[in-house]
Amino acid sequence: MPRPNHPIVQQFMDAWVTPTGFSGPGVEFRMRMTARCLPIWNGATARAVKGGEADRRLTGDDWKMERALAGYALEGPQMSIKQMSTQLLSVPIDQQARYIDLQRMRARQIWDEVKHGQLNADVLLRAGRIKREDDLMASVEANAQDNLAYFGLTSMFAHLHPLARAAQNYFVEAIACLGITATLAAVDDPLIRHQMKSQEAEELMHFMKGKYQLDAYCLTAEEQRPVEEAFDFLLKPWATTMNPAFGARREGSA
Amino acid sequence: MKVRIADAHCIACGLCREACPEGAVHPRMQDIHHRFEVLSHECTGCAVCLPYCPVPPALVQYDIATA
Repeated sequence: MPRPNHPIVQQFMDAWVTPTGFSGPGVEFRMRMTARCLPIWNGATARAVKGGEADRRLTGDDWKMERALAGYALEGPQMSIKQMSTQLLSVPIDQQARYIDLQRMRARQIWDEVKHGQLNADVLLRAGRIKREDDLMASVEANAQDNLAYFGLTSMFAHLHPLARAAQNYFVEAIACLGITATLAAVDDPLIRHQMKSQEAEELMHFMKGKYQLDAYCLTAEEQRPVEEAFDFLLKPWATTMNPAFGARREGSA
Repeated sequence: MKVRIADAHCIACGLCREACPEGAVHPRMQDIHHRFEVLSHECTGCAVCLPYCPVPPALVQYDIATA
């Protein structure tokens, strides 16, 4: 018997995962992939709740700075442009017309991700930790991150199919949504809430974009295979680390 | 003199934020539209931002004595 979902995950399932405007093989495929994602989504949510509650007990600003620096490394201009460029470049010129709706959403997400980077920088600016965003270029924490190579250009070559990135949108952006919900439930700091509330709806749009791609485009075995391969990669046991920006903490740290 | 943003005209492009040497332009708190605000206590009134605004009425100079 499957374990019950974390309440935050169940709420997310009921509101955003289960309702669908389509029917057929794409939806069936998505729900099969959802069952694979759920253990990770539940674990990540539980860790985010724990991290938020631990942060709430801390005094001083250092925990906020850790979150903001990690968030900048995850969503700042370098990562945003690399990550989103790989999505746009996965569609060959001769297939642009077929996937023009997805390309438009991917272009929009570049703007979103850059704004999210700005928000993380703004936490540091408003807290007086930096004078200008340029200062972050000298920070290791703001530039180094331990997320998968999948989010950089390197893995583009392994996942070139125009639909492969649907797995990333669906699996990873759900973790962002769940992490934000979990953190907002625990943390009342105005700067952290500012950074998260300002981007919350866009993270959901990125997830829904994955849902749309799976429901509407992954209709045949040929279309599903490259997406499932991307899920296989993202769901490897060693692959999931949750960035401190969304509430995770390294083992052994606070 | 200081600068403020007129929401009716601002397109939230963020160029003023990039140009401001004081880092006085910030994303507005908890704004899902990502509009910006100039923190008056950080603005020195240098006006470096003004020539970069693509919608000039969006950046308004004001006199702090009469504001």
